[in-house]
Amino acid sequence: MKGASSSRSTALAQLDKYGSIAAFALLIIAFSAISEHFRAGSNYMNIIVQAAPLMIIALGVNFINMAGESDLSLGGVIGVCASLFCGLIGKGASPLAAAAVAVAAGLAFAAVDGLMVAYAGLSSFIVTISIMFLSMGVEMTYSKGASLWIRDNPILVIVNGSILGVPNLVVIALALFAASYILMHKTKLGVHVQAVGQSTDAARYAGIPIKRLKFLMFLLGGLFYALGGMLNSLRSSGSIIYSGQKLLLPALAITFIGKTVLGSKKSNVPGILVGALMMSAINNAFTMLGVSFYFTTIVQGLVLLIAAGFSVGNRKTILQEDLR
Amino acid sequence: MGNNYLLEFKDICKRFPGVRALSNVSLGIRKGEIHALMGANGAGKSTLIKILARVYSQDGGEILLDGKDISRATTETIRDLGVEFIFQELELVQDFSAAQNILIGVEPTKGLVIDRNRMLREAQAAMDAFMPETVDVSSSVSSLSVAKQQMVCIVRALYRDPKILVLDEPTSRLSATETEALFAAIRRLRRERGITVIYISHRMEDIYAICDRVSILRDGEMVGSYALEELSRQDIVYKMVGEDIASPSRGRVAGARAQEGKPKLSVAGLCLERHLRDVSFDVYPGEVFVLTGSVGSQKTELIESIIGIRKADRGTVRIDGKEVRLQGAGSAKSAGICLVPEDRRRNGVIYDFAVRSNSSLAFLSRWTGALGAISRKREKADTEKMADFLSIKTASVETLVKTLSGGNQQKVVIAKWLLGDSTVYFFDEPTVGIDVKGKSEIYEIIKTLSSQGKAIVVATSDIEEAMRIGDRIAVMFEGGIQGIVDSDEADKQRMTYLAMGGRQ
Amino acid sequence: MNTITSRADVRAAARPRDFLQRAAVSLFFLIMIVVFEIISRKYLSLENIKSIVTQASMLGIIACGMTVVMMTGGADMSVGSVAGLTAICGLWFVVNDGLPLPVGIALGLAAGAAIGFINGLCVSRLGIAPFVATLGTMFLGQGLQYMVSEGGMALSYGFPKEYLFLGTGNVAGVPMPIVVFALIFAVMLFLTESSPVGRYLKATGCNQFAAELSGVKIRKYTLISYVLSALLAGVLGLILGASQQYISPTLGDSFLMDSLIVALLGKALFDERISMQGTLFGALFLRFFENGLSMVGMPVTVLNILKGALLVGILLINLARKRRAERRAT
Repeated sequence: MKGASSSRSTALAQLDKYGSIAAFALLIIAFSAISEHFRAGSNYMNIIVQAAPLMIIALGVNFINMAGESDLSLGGVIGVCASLFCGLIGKGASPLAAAAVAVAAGLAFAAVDGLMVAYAGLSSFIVTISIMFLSMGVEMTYSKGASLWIRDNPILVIVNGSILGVPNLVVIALALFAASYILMHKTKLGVHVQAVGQSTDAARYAGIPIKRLKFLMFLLGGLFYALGGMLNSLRSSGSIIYSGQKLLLPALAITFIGKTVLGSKKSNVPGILVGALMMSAINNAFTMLGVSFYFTTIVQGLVLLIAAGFSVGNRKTILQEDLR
Repeated sequence: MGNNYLLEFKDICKRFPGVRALSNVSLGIRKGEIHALMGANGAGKSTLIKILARVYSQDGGEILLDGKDISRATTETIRDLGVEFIFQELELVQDFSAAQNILIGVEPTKGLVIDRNRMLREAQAAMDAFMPETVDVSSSVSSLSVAKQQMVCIVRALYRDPKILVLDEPTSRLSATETEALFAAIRRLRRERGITVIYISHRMEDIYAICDRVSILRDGEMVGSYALEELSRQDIVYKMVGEDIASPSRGRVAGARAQEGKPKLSVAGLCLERHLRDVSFDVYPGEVFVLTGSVGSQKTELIESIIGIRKADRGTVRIDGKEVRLQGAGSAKSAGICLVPEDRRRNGVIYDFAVRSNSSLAFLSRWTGALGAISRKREKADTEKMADFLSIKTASVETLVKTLSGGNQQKVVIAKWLLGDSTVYFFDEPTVGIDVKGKSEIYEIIKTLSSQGKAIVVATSDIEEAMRIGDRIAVMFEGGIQGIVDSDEADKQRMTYLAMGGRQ
Repeated sequence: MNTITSRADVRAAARPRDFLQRAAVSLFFLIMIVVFEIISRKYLSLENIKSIVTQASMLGIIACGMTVVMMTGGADMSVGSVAGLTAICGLWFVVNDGLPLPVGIALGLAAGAAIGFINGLCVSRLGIAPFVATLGTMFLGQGLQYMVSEGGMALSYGFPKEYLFLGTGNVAGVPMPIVVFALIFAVMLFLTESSPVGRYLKATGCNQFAAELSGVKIRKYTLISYVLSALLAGVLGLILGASQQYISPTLGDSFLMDSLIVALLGKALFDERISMQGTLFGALFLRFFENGLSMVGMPVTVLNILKGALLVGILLINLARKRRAERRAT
């Protein structure tokens, strides 16, 4: 296998490693070339700002993915958190109190997910889908389908203001990114979670508490969903029914793109940044190009499939769920 | 007491339902020695080590470490007591660096974050102490060869400063130079750290190169512990195999067949990088051809390469003289070849299916009518007849296979292929985990098949079994055939020697 | 060594607990119906029963597809989306451009099958997890629905008479949806219980390694299961559109959760395994249950939460049963 074919395998390895970043760069160049609106300076900042809440949410899922599990409930949970936050503020509650309630809700759903997946050992896909349905029902019951607006509230400064020229949202997102990166890639805890997600045997050898760490990652995910959902609703000045569910696909696509970055085929934090920027750029470009909204959905679906396809390590077995 | 044993097994007994046990095994390992554990397949070596690793608990007897009874230890706590195991399965995190794997769970920290520099330094120091200038611990484990990955496993264990290191077939994946380097490292370990090593292997040359004393097990009993300098290779084989060198055909199922006519199956020059080197043999109709050899001999890989589950790099496979390119069980089935695979639980039977539906799975079209419906009546009748023929112990063919014993499950797998019209049968370790009665029933089935003119290949690591059912026996070692022996002339000692890498 | 005796012995030996369990569950079903009737007095009217069974039939059509996919060890999140896509592709050009109905229906089903094919390819050849692959196609399908309907315009009139018959017509007094479902159920039951295809599907789902080594083409059958699921979802979409006389991009969305629930309900309460019969039972049970609850005045939103909780509960039941079986084995 060595010798003659090694030059071909290094070429493939290079593609593997830098393919996503190259694709991202190509995308930006192509969009900039096609649309003059896209390449306006303020637009690039727009892309970054729009990427912020989505990245926070994707960071949340990423914690869970790094522990080797999946979470499809994020859309519904975000919906609950966002509508609670906006609804309570609309009824006159202080933003801090409303935020606390929203975070509590996010953690509560996350805890249920975590208990069933980490401790009871159920399949994460089907469990989190069930919670997705459940939380969507809760959101509908609470908001009764109405949109909950936040207007003229001082809390909006978070999304409107900026520090030293950098929008607050971006600052918050970067701070959370940095914290996530340090936690998952530099601390003992993060490295242990990676071990759990990549090799249960090695983790067991090392005496790592597998169930506890998985549960913890679900909780962290829930926290980030609440944060991301609240920030997102602030940007939209309110919460529209099932708006959280619309974020499910882009968030998942980001996690798959993240896995392909630097050829690791494993969940990682830096990749989330690249993925978030990419999805935001695509969204933005479509808006600038005047593309109909549904094209975004179609492309997002395709991106998910393509990214998922590229991030698969072993194609020999058919993946199956233990539902039978 | 007065003996200086660091680790002592006293009268260890272990029973499995109907299968080989350990009977009153007592042996002592002295501090600082490199102690070999040897025995034929099924003699009980791995059971004994699994009892030490607390994967099993013994039925009787005790284990003493430094004079203290450690029978209440668990798989986790046994390592706290200073016993580390290096098994065949490398449980490493592939995408981590070697350093991260070595210090996994005990990473040094600077404040909240991992002190990466210190981790690299300590890991490299540990690695260099074991084998200098071999592995750069900052490299990712997935980029390392299997041999080097094994080094990482060993250093990982050594980092925890064990009193006893148990090595299970450590050189099965190593080249000659790598083996030499490993031995040099082990000798240094013993010199500098006074560590005690239990070394399990079937390779004669290894044992003589590195070990001080050897304990030999046979049929679940201790034959004895000896200093290697007082024992010849012949002595070892003799003790592993037993007194009865007479009558190699004793208990043989049938006389060896003369090779009549043309070969049914012809394998020539089969090569697979890192697995097979130039394997060639012929199997005649009605012949039972046995592949035997120990761990690492690549018997299963050979079968998989013939059937096409693995793609060989070079070589040809011929059926009735015509070359075939098989691509797996499906295409093999069409060519009249079938496989009763290793690990029946994973590969052989479908646990949630009944005996009937398991048996009919390979040739379902036989019971499918013109309208596309399966005739359950005919299916049931035929599978019942087959179950009867094979003496499958079950109340009815409707019972789920998961409730059957291992031997009966294996018979269901055989039934599945007998219900078809295959002409070449492959059996991979067909009697593993099956009691004596079940084994002889399967031997009878194989004998019947051969009398029907089928060409049969059986892979087994049990040399006695090989001699019992084979007409000709090919002894394999590390992917190559050491020699092909007529069963009439087969000598257990000679074959054991060949299987251990000895030269013809 | 065989001790095969009478047929009764055989059946008893094979699955004694199943019978008791089915009896208990059927009893519960009956009690539930009685309670609802007592409370609302209109529950067991002929009209209501016909309506419930019609609803259950429609659910049954799409749930049969989900059942097949689950048999191979996967799940199909795109069924709701495919139902809508088939309906919109099928009728848009018929209503707006005068395309003949049969061509439209063929077009719609082809579009659905294409989605199913993509699903099958991703799962069987690319190694993508079923939930992820079908999630991607779910969104893809949703976007396509909007694309075909030029931004989400609904179809609410101009349907050909023959099409409306699919949803609102009767055959010998029996509503069309029930007739169509009866046919489909018969075919699917035959497929899964009496034909080799069913065996191969189940074998793939139960143990792909043993199946492959027995010569079963596991990738082919996995692909088939997803295409079949998409086709059945498409049929549901067409019937639903006809019955509501309204096709818009959100058509069929609610059926995703319902078909998941129903297939798993069948396993939890009826059959101890995924099966067509179990799904039929689940569909009837769920619709009777829902109808009863709404008759006694439960708001829809709370009902949806209940259904979500029901799904969670079913998972826990399955888990408990598995644990019990494992403990009994050791």
